[in-house]
Amino acid sequence: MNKLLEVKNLKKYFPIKGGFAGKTIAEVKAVDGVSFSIEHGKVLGLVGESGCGKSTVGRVILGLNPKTDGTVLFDGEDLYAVSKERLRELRRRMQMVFQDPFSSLDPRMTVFDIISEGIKAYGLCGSQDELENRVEDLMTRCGLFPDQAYRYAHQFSGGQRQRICIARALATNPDFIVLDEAVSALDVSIQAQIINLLKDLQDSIGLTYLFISHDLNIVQFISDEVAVMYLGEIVEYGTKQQIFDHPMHPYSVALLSAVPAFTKEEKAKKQRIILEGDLPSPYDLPEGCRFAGRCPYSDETCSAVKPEWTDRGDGHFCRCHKKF
Amino acid sequence: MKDTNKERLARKRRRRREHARETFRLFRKNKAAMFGCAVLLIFILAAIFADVIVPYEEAISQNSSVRLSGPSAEHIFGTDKYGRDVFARIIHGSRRSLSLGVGTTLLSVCIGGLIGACCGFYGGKFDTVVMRICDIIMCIPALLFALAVVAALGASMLNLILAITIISVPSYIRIIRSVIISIVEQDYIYAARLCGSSNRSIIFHHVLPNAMGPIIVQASMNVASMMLTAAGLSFIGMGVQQPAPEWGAMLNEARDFMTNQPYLLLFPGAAISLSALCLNLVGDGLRDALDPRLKA
Repeated sequence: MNKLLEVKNLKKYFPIKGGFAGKTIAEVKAVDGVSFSIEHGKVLGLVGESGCGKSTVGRVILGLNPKTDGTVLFDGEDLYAVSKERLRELRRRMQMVFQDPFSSLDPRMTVFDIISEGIKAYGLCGSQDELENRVEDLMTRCGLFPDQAYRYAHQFSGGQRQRICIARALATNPDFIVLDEAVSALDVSIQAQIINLLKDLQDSIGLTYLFISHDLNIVQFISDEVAVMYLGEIVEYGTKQQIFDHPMHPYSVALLSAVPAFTKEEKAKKQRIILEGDLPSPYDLPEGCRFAGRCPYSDETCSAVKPEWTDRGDGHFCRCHKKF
Repeated sequence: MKDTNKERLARKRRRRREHARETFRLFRKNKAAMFGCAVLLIFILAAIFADVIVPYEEAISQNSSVRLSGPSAEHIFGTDKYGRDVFARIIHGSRRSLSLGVGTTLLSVCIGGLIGACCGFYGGKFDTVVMRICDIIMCIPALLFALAVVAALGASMLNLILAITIISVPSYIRIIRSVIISIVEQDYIYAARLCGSSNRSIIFHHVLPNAMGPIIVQASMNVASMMLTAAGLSFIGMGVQQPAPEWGAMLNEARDFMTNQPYLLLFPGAAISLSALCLNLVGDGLRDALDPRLKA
C-alpha cells in the first residue's frame, strides 16, 4: 500500500457563540470522525448532499480551516505536527480548485500574476524568462491561449476561469489536488471539457485527486474509489464498482436512485427512492444512526444504537445495522 | 531562451504603458471627475501662486474705513469686520485649508488603513484590543479630544493636523477593518495561501488593492469634514492663529454677520463645499478608473 494521503478520525466542530460573554453554547459537528486514505495516482470521490461537510473535509485537510481533532498524514507526515517551514514545503505539493471560479480569482490581478504567484512564492523558477515560459506552458496545457496572460480574470468565461484555477493549482507541481465541486458551477458542455482536462492531467503527470462533488455521474466517471458522506460522517466507502453496482447503505441507494435515467431500459429498471423527513439539526444530532429519521428501513435499534463501521468484504465499508 | 532580456523589458514597459493609458482614458471619459479635477487644479494653482495673485499683506492688513463692505470692484468678495479683503483671504487661506484637509486625510488613511488591515486580517486578541481602544477614543467628543491634544502639544499647524488625525483614525480603522474582513473570506485569499504566499504578501498584493475602492471614496468624502473640524479648532484659538487666513476660521467669524452680510459666509463656505465636492468627484472617478473590472 502506497498511501499519499491518510485521514484518521478527522473532526471539525464549529462553535456557536452566544450569551453575554460570547461563550460557546453549541457546536455544529460539520465533520465528525472521518477516516479515509488515497493511494498515489488514484481519485477518491467524496459525495453527499449539500451541507454534509464534504467541502469542510477538503479545507481541513489542506489546513485552510484548523481541525478540531484527528490526524492528517500526507506522504507519512502529520500535517498538524510538522514545523511551519515543513508544512509550507508540504503545502507546495497540495493544491485546491475551488467551487466558485468567480470568487477564487483575485479581480485585480492578471492571469499571469495569478498563475505565477505560487511559482514565485516557492522560488521554482530562477529567471523571468523561465517564469514566463512556465506560465505559458501551464496555460497551453490547460487549454488557454498564452497571449491572454495579461488579461484580468473577469474578461474570461466561467469555464476559462476554472481552467485558470486549474493552471494555478498545477503551478507549484503538486502531487495532490482537492477538487472542491470544481465543475458544479459550470454548464454541462464545459463540465465535460474540464473533467476531460482533469483526467488527462491525471494520466500524464500522475496526480492524485480528492474529488468532492454531488454529481454522481461525474464521480462515476473520474473516481477510482468513492466515499459517501452523510451529516459529517462517511456512511459507505468502497471502489467505484462496489458503490455504484452494489450500494449497501440505504442513503447511498437513495442517492443513486436520484441520478436521472436516460435510456428506456434504465428508466424501466429505475426505482426512485424519495426520502421522507428532514435532516436532523447538525448541532443536536440523534443518538443512534444519523440517517434513522429518514431511512425507510429503520427500527428501534437504529434510533438507539449507533451502527459500527464494518467491512462487508473486499474493502467495502458501510455504517449500517442492516444488511441488504 | 525565447527572446532576449531587452525585448522582454520592452514588452513589459509597453504593457505597463498600455495599462496606464487605459486607466487615464477611463478617467478622462468621466466628465464629472474631469470637472472636479479642473476646479481642484484652480484651487491648487491659487494656493501655489497666492502671492502672485494678491500680496499676503492684503489678506491680513486691517482697514477700519472699509469694514464689512459688500462685494465691489475694489474688493470683489467684500471685506470682513476688520476691513480685510475676503478675496485675498480666500486665496491665501487655500494653502492652509487644502493642506489641512488633504494632509490629515492622507495621514489617517495610511495609519487607519494599516491598523485596520491588520485587525481584519489577523483578528483575535490584537483585533479586540485595537477595537476597544477605538471605542474609547470614539466615546470622547472629537472636538474635546483634539482640544486636549492641541492644549498638550501647543497650538500650531502641525499639532492641529496631528490632533485631527488622531480623532479620525478610529473611524477609518473600523471602516477598513470591515472591508478587509469581507475580502479575507474570499476564496482567492485561501488560494494565495495555498500558493505559499506570506501574510505580508497577501495583505499587500490581494487584500489592500481590493479594499482600495471603499477607502478612496471614504477618504475623499472626509476631506471636507476634516476642514470643518480644523475650522472649529481655529475658532476657539487652538488651530490656525489669527490673523492668518483659513476658510473654516473665516466661516466661523462670519456667523455673527450672517443676516446682514451673508456674502461673508457665502465665499468661504462655497470654497469649502466646492473643493469637497470636487475631491469627491475625483475620488469616484479614480475608483472607477482603477478597477480592472470596469475596463473593456
